[in-house]
Amino acid sequence: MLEKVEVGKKVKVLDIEGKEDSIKKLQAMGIRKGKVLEVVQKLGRSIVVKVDHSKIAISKSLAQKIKVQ
Amino acid sequence: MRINVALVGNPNVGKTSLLNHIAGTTLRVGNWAGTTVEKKEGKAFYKGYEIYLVDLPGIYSLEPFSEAEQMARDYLLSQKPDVVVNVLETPNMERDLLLTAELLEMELPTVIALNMLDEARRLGIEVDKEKLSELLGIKVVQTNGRTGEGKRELLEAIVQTYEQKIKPFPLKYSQTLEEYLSKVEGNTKFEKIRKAQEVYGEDFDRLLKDERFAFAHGLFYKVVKKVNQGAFDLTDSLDKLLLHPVFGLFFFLFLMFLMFKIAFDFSAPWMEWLDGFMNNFISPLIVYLLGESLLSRFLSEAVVGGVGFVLTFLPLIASILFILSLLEFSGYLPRVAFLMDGLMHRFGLHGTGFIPLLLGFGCNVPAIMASRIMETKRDKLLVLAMVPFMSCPARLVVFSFFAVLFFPNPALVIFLLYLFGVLVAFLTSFLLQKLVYRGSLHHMILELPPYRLPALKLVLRITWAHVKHFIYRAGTLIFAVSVILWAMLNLPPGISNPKDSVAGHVGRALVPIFKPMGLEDWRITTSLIPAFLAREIVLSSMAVIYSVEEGKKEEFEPRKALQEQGVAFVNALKESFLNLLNPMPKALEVKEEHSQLKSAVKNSMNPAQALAFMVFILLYTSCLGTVAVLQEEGGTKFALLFLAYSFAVAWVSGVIAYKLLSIL
Repeated sequence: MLEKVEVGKKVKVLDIEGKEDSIKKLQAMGIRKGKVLEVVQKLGRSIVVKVDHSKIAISKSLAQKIKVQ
Repeated sequence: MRINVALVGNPNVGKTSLLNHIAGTTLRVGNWAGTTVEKKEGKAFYKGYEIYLVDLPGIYSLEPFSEAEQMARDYLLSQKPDVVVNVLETPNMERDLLLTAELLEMELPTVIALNMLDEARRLGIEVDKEKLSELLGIKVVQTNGRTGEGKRELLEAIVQTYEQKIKPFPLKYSQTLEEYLSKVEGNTKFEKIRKAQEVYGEDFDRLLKDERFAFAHGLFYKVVKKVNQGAFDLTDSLDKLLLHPVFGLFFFLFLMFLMFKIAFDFSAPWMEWLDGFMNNFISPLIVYLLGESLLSRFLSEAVVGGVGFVLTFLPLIASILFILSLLEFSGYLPRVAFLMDGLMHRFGLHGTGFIPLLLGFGCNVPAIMASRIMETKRDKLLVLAMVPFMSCPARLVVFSFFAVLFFPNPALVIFLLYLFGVLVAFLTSFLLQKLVYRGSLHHMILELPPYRLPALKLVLRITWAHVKHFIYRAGTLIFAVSVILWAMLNLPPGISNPKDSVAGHVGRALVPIFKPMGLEDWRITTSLIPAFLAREIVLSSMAVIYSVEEGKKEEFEPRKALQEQGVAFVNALKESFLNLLNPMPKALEVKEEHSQLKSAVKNSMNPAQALAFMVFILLYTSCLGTVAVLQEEGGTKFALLFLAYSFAVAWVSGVIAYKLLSIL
């Protein structure tokens, strides 16, 4: 799970669970199966990841649904 | 001839900068009718055409995740713009092309603007725009929103696309998907897809999504060439500090302190000077020129007073919106959401809400305008319902008058009142979340764009557009109501005592309502009427109604008065810069005033009544400026409901405070 990944590590997205709008939005923003994410920072309830050339802040509750390797 | 153009693109791709370069001074801001979503528009003249551009909300997809996507989609479908300009952030093209695919499905005349050319160059990204144009069958231009580079080419492309009705080649998806589509009716691919979604449901949806991604991906690899791996990235290095759990928070709080200082302390002397200029110079000048009459009094008091009142808001609004725009265009603002999320989430809000709530302590009016930075409608309305309970300097003036007069340790009383205001704000938000905006807080998903040096011209123009909007919309309402309030106090003609005015009668009729909180004196209830303009007015109107302060009758001499205003101007200039050097927020200081009123009030009230009155003033939105901007940002219904709600809460709290203190 993305939530558990340490700051500075790069991981590959295996799967994203769920069909709700926030998942669709994540995918539209570039976080999809097969993409490489770098965890930039974590603070309290949220986590910042870098995908391609953009950085995205997401709630950890959402990060739980992103399975990574 | 007019060409209607819609700018569509992901958030932070520089649409607004681009619009600013094209539209120049015609740039206007407002809200989309009936929504809380901000709208920017402007126009340009090119080759005999009037090109009208509207900036649609930044979206990643046309799938309706929120109000923003819904709005953009509805606009494209119902308004059918003559030309759609799809703005792409070149460094993030692969992601951005998903929206492009969805736009192409609509089969509207389209132009692609590859923006952020400079950033792409720095990252070593090259795009073959001719090839992109060939593949899609539409014009592709490269632009740089910061410098305005490519502006002419874009206008040229818009005109040509319009004249030649250049529509994109029909999109071809895989055979499986096209088979689905061939079985449904529809004029455009978009319509067919919508039908197919209804008929075939989820299986089709999943396939469509994959196909769109595949299309974006494929197109990206056909036209983008990476020359070299990006070198040193400033954003990454800055984020190591600015997103840091300790340093990042510390920096943010420091930034807020600076914002508070600049916005409130820097503009306070100007507001005071403007107020003095209108009331001590323009007003008496009119009476001097026209002689004493009801008309000259109307002009000098109601009209000049009203205009002056609106004007005094401008330094505040200008400085706050300037700083907010600076934060927004530099890319820092979304980082606040990340930093403050832990704290604000406890109250059911996203992190960005911290900024307007904090600004509320300086002045509710610009704080409410600052709610435009909230990402969702739910968050924005929650913030709008909370800000007015943040105690501001106008309330402090009233509190310090009564607290010093009736309580042994006034500082504690004032502190508790501030705290109580915050408490009511959070209770209100809690209540709204339980009753109106049910369901848990949406997950935060926010892009943190690269740091960009905002163009000063752009920030100034946006600030000016907001100030103009405030004058036209909120300003006219404020002016109108202030004239009505003046009339209530001064009509019927020929009255010498406020007791006989319309306001005096209304004030007496109000007494039964205020009786449960111990306020039985018609002079107090009457003074609340003009205080609807702004809370601190309650003191000066009390002074008039208790008739302890006679209107100053000084001989007015234009030349001398003008000289005085000149001196005051220089002092204001000096003071505003001195305030910046003073490390303490000046907005929290109190001035001694109304000494004669003190004894009169002391004799007619007891501590319990005074506390009830202060609690009432704290909570009731007795501030015309606040109501006017609430109406602008949240809608008329919202503003009126909120006004009634604040009155009810203030009344109940006032009664409880009175009863409690009477028992003790």
